[in-house]
Amino acid sequence: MKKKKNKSWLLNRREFVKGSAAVSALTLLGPGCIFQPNSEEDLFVPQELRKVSDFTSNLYHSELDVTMGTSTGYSPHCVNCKGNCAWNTFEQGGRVVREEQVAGYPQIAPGIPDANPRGCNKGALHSQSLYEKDRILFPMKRVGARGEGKWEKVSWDEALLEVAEKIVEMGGKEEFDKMMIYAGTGILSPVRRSASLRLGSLLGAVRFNVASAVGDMFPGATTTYGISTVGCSSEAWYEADYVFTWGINPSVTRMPDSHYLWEGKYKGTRVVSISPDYNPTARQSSLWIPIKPGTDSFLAMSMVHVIIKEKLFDESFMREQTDLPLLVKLENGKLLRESDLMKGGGENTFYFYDIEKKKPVKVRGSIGDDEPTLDLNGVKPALEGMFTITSSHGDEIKVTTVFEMVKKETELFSPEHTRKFTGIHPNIVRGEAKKFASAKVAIIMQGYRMHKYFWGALAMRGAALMLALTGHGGRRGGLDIDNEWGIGDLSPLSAPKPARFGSGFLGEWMDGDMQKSFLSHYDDGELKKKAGLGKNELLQRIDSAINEEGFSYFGKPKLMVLFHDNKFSRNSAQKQTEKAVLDSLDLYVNINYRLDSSASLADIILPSVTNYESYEIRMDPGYGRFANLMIPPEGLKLPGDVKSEWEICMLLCKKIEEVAKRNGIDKVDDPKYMTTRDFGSMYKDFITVDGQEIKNYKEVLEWVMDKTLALGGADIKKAAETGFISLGRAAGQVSPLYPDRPFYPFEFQTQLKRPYFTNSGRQQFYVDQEFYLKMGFAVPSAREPVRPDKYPFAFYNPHTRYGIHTTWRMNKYHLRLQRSGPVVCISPLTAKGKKIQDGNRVRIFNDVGETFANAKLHPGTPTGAIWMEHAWESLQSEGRKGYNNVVAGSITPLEIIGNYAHMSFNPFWDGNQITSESSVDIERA
Amino acid sequence: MVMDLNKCLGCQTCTAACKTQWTNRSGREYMYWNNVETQPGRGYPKDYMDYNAGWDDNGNLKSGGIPNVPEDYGTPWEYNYEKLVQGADKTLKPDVEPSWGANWDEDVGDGEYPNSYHIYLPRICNHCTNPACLAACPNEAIRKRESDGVVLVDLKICEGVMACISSCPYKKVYYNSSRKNDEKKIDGQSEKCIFCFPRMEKGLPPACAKQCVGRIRHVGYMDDEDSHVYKLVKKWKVALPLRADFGTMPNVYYVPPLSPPKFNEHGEVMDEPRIPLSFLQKLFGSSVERTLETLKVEMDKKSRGENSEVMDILIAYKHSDMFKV
Repeated sequence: MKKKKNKSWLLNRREFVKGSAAVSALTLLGPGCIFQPNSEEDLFVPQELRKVSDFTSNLYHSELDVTMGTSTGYSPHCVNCKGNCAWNTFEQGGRVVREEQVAGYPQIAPGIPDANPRGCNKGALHSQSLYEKDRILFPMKRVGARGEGKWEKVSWDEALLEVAEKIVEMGGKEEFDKMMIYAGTGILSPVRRSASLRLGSLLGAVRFNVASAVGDMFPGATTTYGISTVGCSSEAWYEADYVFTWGINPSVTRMPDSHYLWEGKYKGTRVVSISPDYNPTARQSSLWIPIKPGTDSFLAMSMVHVIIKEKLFDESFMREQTDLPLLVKLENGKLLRESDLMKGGGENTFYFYDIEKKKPVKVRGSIGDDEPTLDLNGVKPALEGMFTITSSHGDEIKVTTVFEMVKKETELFSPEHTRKFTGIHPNIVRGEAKKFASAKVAIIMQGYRMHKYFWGALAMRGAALMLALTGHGGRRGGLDIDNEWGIGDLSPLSAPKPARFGSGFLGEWMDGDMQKSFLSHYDDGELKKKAGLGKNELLQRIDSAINEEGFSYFGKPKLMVLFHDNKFSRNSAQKQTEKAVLDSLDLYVNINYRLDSSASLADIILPSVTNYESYEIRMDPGYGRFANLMIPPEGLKLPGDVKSEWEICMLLCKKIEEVAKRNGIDKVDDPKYMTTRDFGSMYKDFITVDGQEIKNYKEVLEWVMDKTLALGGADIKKAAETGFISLGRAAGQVSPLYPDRPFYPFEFQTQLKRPYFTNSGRQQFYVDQEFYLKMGFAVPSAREPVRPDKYPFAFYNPHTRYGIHTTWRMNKYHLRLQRSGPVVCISPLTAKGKKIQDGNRVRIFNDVGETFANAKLHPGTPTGAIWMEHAWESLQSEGRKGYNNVVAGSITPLEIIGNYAHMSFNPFWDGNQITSESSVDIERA
Repeated sequence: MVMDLNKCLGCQTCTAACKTQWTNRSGREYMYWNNVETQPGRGYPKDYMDYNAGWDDNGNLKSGGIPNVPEDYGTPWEYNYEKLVQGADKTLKPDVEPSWGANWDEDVGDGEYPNSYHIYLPRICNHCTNPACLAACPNEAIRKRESDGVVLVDLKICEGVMACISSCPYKKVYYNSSRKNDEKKIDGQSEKCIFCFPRMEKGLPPACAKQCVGRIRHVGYMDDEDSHVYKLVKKWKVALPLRADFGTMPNVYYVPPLSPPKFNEHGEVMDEPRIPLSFLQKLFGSSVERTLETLKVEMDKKSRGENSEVMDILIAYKHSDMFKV
């Protein structure tokens, strides 16, 4: 460094600083100075240093101009994110150079904060992924072994011909159920998803239930309400008086919405965060409750215990909205049905006991009843008591109420007793149960993570029971897991013919032979003790679910065409699963914009567009209330030889038609679905939607917008004025979406008395299915975690800040804000015992496999657990052994019954891979 | 600017916004004009608070020092994407073995479970009233604009001496070895946060502020008594500068963080925040205790349904009202 020149004004500095007390008392003068008034600043900085050269001004101005582009587009980011945010995209020289939130959403009411700017760190960096060197620019064909990474560039014509030949060959043999055409969660929006859905539907190919395949199902909610799209708009967090963030970390996973929580806290909302580690949401909460991993069902039941013991419950809500007054037969624990009372009586007609008339009364609103109402019609049903009822043929039947059954179960779970499982002091449970019960509006948020635990569905049922007992439903709050707006019927576009819709979790389980790691990781006796059933019983249950109870599975595919799905990085027992799936495949085609872990294993990779490069509308995520448009900037040029998924499928159909004609194949019968698969007219069928020819995404978007009532007739031109459309009232599926009030679930039920979607027509806490009765799951209950004792640490995988699943995980700008690759968080105490220091390379292992990571010593982590964020690409770990390589295959018995009314295989009733019930050990590598 | 540490999510959206606006190119790749660091922690660049920079009590510049790129800032490591696509490499790897980065201590903090604690501290240049960088430059290349008080390096003048970097106690001036001034035959110049003055001149708030999804940043003129900034800093005194003891009179202020209560040895909730007061006093000075008290009083008022101007401002009903530029 050069020696400093001696400046006269510098010498006087001392006097100025000494006089600084006087400075702040100076009168504030003069026009705009962004910080201190000029008069104050002038004391320290002489006038000659208050001017900047034009050269410097112009330099930064011209840089800004470049980043603001020569043409502007709009885009949300249509991945598996509940965000859905309006962004501007700025194009310069044919490329998107930057993006910025539109931040133009209207405030819905004066007392409620607006939703701006909406859009997070990931959206802000997508432009930096578009032109990264892992972008796939040309069709590529494998020339080495699978996964070896040897590719040759091929033409679209050549690539598509090979795929078409395989499809026609299989079609000719009626092997529709061995063809998988499946779009994963990398594109979750109606326009771009429609291409693969339409192709698969025309071919009768298999696809998985996508939410189940990635483990985003909420069977605990479906059990209770009959559906799982239950939740609030995020403005409700602001309005609520009490919010639990339980197994959810919104400051990380709901970035665009979480301000409502913290602004609510300023307004008086009590935000209580429940998680094993001190996470960013816990940091901001009113109280953090540290819980031992996987013991949430005990906490819920202990809260229920207190609510009942201290009579904090709301009887009128329980009577009208829940099944708690339904009658249960003492002899076998079954609900009292009409068929018990009279010959030919209904199986889905249930009873209350009318306190005043002292006799049983039929429950209205059940699926066996003609009157779709919860209105009690003046009846006051008993919540408590034992009764004897006489059937029409004179039998005496002893009954009690569901509430009595719940009370009995609750006896087992005093906070003093549950403490040994949860680690939570009873005073905390008692204190919070009271505050929660007395709150005017209370919300329990639970995230996707909850159902990654064996007993997650019990924890969710317990939480729903806490809400129901205390009357927190409709405008008084409720369970907030996953609100989705209704977007109308798009089936002419996405499902012109019946397709093979398979269970997601069971499909992945079966295709990946995951029972192998399940069998090796769990000990039979230990599982029996903890879960109440042995390993083989669980596997038999899975068999029954598939073979007898309607969960559909079509066998291992021979052809797999994957669109934006990263199954080989995502699945448990990663290396074993990968081998099992690949071994069954004759041809594996991956359609992607970048080389991810799954694309790297493909036989053929086809390059597609990504966000910013397509037309799209994202409507359904229910935290926000706006549909956001994707409209590419006018000057945008697609890189390389990239095509839209629609164009890819359209060209593939053309090839299929050509090959079929050459081979003399036209229509092939698909008797299972009573239809034909029309190979000879595949192209025409693909492009003709509702009699209208559709050849690109802009036309698909126009079609979709036209069919969506909640858009209020807005077209692309109208939407292009702002980049978003405020959704109308019709978007709400279980409540109206009011233009000026937060959205809460089930106002149709609480206000209009419409039934819920369960067999009782009520919030259902009693499930008298045989297996549930046998296992003790009929009422909400609690069980201890099943992770094996043979390794010392619970292993779990919370959601990262830097990706939505694996999307953006390999972006270097994100990685530079982390430690460059996978890390594992361990308690400093654990580290000391294992002689591990911060930054050390460590091996995490068990009998399933191993993975490597850098140790991060994290004081917020308990000693009994270690954790790695989810969704690192397996490509980011040595030997491509990702974090999932130590996770054993596992499925919970709660999610594999399929023959009980609303709990039968359907888009709301499918299960999850259980990924947080493995145990591991750790050592320095 | 006022940044509300209670609302900060630590999400790095500001960092990403700034990165694409200014520092993803032209020799600035290693720089974070805006960074968010976890505290307690060593910060970014590493141990920046320990350089003995800024002003001493007698009004003299302290000795200061210059951080080193790989060890203190962290190399902007590259990845082998191309080799991965070509099959030459099997896994994604950085081109160096990094030992530090802009957010290395993320979420770590201090304390013993379950009384662990941390905060997120977003930092830009403080555009100080008494800027050490400006005083230190032998070439008068650091300027503080008359119109708005923005402190920046005038690249027409800068000779790359790095005195500014050395003297800044917040280490918010960076050396750009690839920026050239041909006229002066200078190879390498300093650059720093410019408070997005070109955006401001178009009526746009700085990228970090407008794009902050936690809605923590209020931008305004301190001599505008209607601005959030004036009200939070001067009227209600709920926002404090970082390390005022460095003597530079920062113009970025922080609403200090409240925290969930501690647990006693039985696991019962105590009537004591988990963040030690001494830690906050080190960062924000002795008045932080009074400031936290004011926040609690105002929160209580608001929760009882009474008016609280402070809470209304911090809640920020309208995003656009956060910026008066």
